[in-house]
Amino acid sequence: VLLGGVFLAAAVQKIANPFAFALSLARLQVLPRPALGPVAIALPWIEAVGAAALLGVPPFREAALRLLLGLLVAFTAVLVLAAARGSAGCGCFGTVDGFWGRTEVGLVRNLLLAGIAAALVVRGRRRAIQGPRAA
Amino acid sequence: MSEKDGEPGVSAPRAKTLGRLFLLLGAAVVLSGAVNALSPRGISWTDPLGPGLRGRLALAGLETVPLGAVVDGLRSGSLVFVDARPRDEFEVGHLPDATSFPWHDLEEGMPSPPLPPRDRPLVIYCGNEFCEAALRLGEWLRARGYRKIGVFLEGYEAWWNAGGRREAP
Repeated sequence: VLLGGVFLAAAVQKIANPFAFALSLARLQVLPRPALGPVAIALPWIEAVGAAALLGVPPFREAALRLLLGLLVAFTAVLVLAAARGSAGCGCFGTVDGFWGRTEVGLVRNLLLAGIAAALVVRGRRRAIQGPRAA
Repeated sequence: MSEKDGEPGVSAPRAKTLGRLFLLLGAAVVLSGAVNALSPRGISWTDPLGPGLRGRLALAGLETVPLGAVVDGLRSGSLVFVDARPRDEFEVGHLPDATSFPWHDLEEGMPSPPLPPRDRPLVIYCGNEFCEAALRLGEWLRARGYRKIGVFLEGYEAWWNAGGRREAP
């Protein structure tokens, strides 16, 4: 629920203002310019559909978990790359996303969520293997 | 026991999960395309940032600093303000404690004024949201290793119109 809720909230924000999301993607200077539009348009919906499936469509829960885990790994890689290039936000201009825009905060948040997602994937796999015995 | 040994219970769910994953991806892509096409806030697939200065700032890796953050920064003294306008405009009035760093002088080959400190975030501004001097100076400083750079896009006019205290040397 936590994982789905976080992704859904993040997705709604990005879907409501795709231009602002495209700006923040551009500022990271990680994606090539032609990829900015497709990523800014489709990524929030991938998050939203994944989160909705995780929260409300049990047959799709396992697939949604893997999808969200993949996104978290990709987001973390992008943040690390941006930090290495010095293009990650410093959160030092007192804007709304000041604290949450800081790279280290983003990394800790992503790693926590990735840990939760990975634990759920492993638990799901164990259940799938042990399922017939448990039943 | 591996999948090769003929245990269908492991590989079949994996294939099913993979299929569902692609189904989710497909649904997301179709939905995103439809909503983006219908929404008044939809953006271009090929040029999502448009020709405006805000997009050019982002592509240059510079942050946009809103008026409220400028006011807070002036109050706390946590930011260094750099005025990119010509020297004569700076002398008529500028943000409190701002440093003059006229971009056009630099562009014309005149020697650079002393560089601002690197340890504090810089906020560069020029006259208004139509002037490019702040963006160009931001790019120039970024190329010299500065990382914490923001641009107050609306510039001195917005500050003045909001009732900001004018400071003249």
